Amino acid sequence: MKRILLCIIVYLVFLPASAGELDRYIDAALAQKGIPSSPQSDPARLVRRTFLVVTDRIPTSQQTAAYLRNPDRIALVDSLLASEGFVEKQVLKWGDLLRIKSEFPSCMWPNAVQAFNKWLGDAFRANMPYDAFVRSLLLSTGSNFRVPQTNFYRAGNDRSPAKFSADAALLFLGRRKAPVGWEPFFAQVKFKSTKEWKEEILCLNPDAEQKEQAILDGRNINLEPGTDWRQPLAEWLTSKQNRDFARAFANRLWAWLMGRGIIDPCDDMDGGHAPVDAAVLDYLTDRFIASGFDVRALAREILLSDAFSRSTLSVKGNEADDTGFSHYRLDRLTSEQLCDAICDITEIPDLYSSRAPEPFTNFPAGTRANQVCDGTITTPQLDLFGRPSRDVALESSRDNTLDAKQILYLLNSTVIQDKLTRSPYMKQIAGKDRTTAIKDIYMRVLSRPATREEISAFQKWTQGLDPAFRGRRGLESLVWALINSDEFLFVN
Amino acid sequence: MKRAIFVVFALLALGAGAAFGQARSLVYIYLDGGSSQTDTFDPKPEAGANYTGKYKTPIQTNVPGIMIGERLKHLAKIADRYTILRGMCDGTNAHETGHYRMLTGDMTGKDIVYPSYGAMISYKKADSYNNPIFPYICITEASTRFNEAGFLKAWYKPYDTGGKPDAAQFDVSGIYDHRMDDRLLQARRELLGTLTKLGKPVEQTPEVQKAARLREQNYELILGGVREAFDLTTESDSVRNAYGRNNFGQSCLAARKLVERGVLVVMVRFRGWDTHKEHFKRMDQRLDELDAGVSSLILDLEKDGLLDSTIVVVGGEFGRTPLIAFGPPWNGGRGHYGAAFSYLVAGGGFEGGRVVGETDAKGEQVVSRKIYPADLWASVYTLMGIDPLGTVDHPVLGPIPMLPSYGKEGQSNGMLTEIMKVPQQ
Repeated sequence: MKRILLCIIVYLVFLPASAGELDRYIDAALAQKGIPSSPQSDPARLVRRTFLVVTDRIPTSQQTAAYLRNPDRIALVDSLLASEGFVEKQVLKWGDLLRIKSEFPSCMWPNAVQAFNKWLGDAFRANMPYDAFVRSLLLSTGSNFRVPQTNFYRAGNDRSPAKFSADAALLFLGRRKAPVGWEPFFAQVKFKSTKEWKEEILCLNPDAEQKEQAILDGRNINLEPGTDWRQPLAEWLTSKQNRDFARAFANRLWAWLMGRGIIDPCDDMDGGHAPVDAAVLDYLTDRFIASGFDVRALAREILLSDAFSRSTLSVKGNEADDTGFSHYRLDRLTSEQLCDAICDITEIPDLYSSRAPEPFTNFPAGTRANQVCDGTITTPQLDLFGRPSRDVALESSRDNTLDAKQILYLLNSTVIQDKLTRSPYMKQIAGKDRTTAIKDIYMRVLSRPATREEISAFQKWTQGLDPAFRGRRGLESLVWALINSDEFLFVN
Repeated sequence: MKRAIFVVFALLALGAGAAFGQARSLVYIYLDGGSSQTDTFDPKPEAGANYTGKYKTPIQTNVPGIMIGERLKHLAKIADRYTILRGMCDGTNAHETGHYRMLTGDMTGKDIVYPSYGAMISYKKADSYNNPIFPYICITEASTRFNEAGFLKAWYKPYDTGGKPDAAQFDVSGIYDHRMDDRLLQARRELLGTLTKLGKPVEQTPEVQKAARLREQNYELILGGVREAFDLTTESDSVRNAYGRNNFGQSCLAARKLVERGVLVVMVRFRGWDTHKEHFKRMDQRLDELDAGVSSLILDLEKDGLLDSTIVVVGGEFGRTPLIAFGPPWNGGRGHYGAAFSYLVAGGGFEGGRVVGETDAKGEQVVSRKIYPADLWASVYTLMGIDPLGTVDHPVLGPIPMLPSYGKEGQSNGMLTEIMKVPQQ
């Protein structure tokens, strides 16, 4: 009896503290290599990171303050995963992979781009199971306006079975080359144009002769006349028995949330890159399959792990570990995150317009970079910070490395000066008492309270200024300085 | 095999030790939207009013036998300095495809998106280019019709100046803003330093360290001498007037100043050539601006001794329909036309006073010496010391041909060896 009681006490004390099973696998992997893990991040940094990673937005001052008053992480993660922000984030990520773009080289054109994006948004809002999502893309037929998934087959000049099978292998298995024998599955796919501008109908060529047999997973498959030859591929690919399918997406989602794949690059699964830890990836794969391919549930488990909430600061012994297991990776804000954050802070939106077809279509003011959803529509700053051009379906086409032009833009660009000068927020805050204003700006830009030292350092700096620069321009300088700080530029 | 023979032939024609590597810089004046060949460098007065519209009387240039459009009066006086390419064709009437083909030379129609000429030159010259100013600059804003870096790093995209060259102050994004007082700029730099020390600690990853280094470097750009390269107010009024007091003219002037500073590639993006409607009304203005800007640039480069080391290229993504669309809704406009159009090249080892290629009586088809985009770029690359048969590193495919259409039938017709100078021994 005593022993049982002791067991219960031990269980109650230790197990819940060491969070979930995922962390046990991660901790075991670290322990095996003798790498210590960094402590948990402070709540202010965590709330900012969670917002950015899940929704591509920095939190508002109110959202940060609410979390700091009541740091309920589960509620935070659940509300963000249920928010439109997470839908937008997924539409953006899949838009990159599906190369959704009006003009060259995808040439999907605006109507199809909009229809496809709407379809993706609906699917993610309903948390469509991932296997059903992929089947829907692969098995679509009909008008590219009415059955938007057919646009999966319309990205680019090359509409050959070889290209389709390469795309399917890359997107859904993370393989750089299609397996031998896949091409015949796509041999029936053909397009008919209609009288509507840029409408195309994907249909299955009934005259397609039976090709040499297709090969699937080492087995020969007979493709029967009168059937959709893509069917056997789609069924096998998305089945629970095909672990590689679940594994590829689990790894990709981990990379989206943690900054680096367990196998990296996350879309090169058979390129001979050793996983950081195979057991962790196996565990995520099992969980994903068991959940019935529930993307939100998989994201939730990763986001609630201790690994996700660790500090980005290294401790002695884990400095060299850049896998994200021992401390969270410090990556630059993505192009969309950065451009949108500056718009949110200044309340001056970037303006987007589509040039095809003429006359140009202007997006409503306030449209966010991650809502544009068309690789053709951009701004110079969005391009500058390495937004993917959607020419290829590789994750590496998002270029997050810093360069001199980007820093120059932040330090002294007319765009940022303009936003600060015209900002309604600056106008409003300039009327407030200095200390209040400084505190407000810190919360708004860095999502954390200002320290007393920071407030007095800024006050002191203002005293040394030419009187002409002390007022509102002084406060603009504070926003400018914080936007240029590493705390802002990197996801902490 | 065909390609190999072709290449050997081209190299023989060029002669050993030809103008390879003579040019240091390139100025590409891009007539965005597509300029009419018949109204500019390939007039066809005999085609009749349905073709010529009101530009019925082309003018004689200073080179006997070469006639150009009647509004290009200044350019007519210096035809000995440039060559007109009348055989240009890129086989498309779509802006986005024409733009891509013209800027990359790639007509293979494959799924690989190539870097633009400017990205390619910067990439090839990355090791030898030591200049605080960016290697590839666009005045004032690059088109975003395709990703100019192609499969290379975003770094190779052009640097956009932004701003208005013809304004009282030419604000150059990041480098100069007339509203920003230098004292405040300095003070802000100190503020950033102070607050960084007081802020939360940030892991010193290589990227974070790079950010710190780049900030220091950039302050040299901002507060150092580089912004003088963009300062047009140091030029005399007579010089500025000669280029034309409009954004295009002053952009050409800025391009000259950047070339003086050794910048590799400057694109002047001259917008407004997509004249489906009100063609002639708009052309009156565009052509006058083009005439003043380009002629002044060429003469100035020559005066400064820079024309031999600077290539000037003028043209857009295609030409325009020689036959005027008189019916509604165009009411006298010209449509897109990729089958035949004209380019102008000067300097850097290109001979002047010549015409290459010829179109039919109406300017609709090339009847002799077709010139494809790949031929133009192969010639420019060669003059800049870059082997057009060289490769470029693709992140997945490894080294691939940098100019894949060059030497391919139907996508290439050979380098412009007929106008590439052999330098004096």
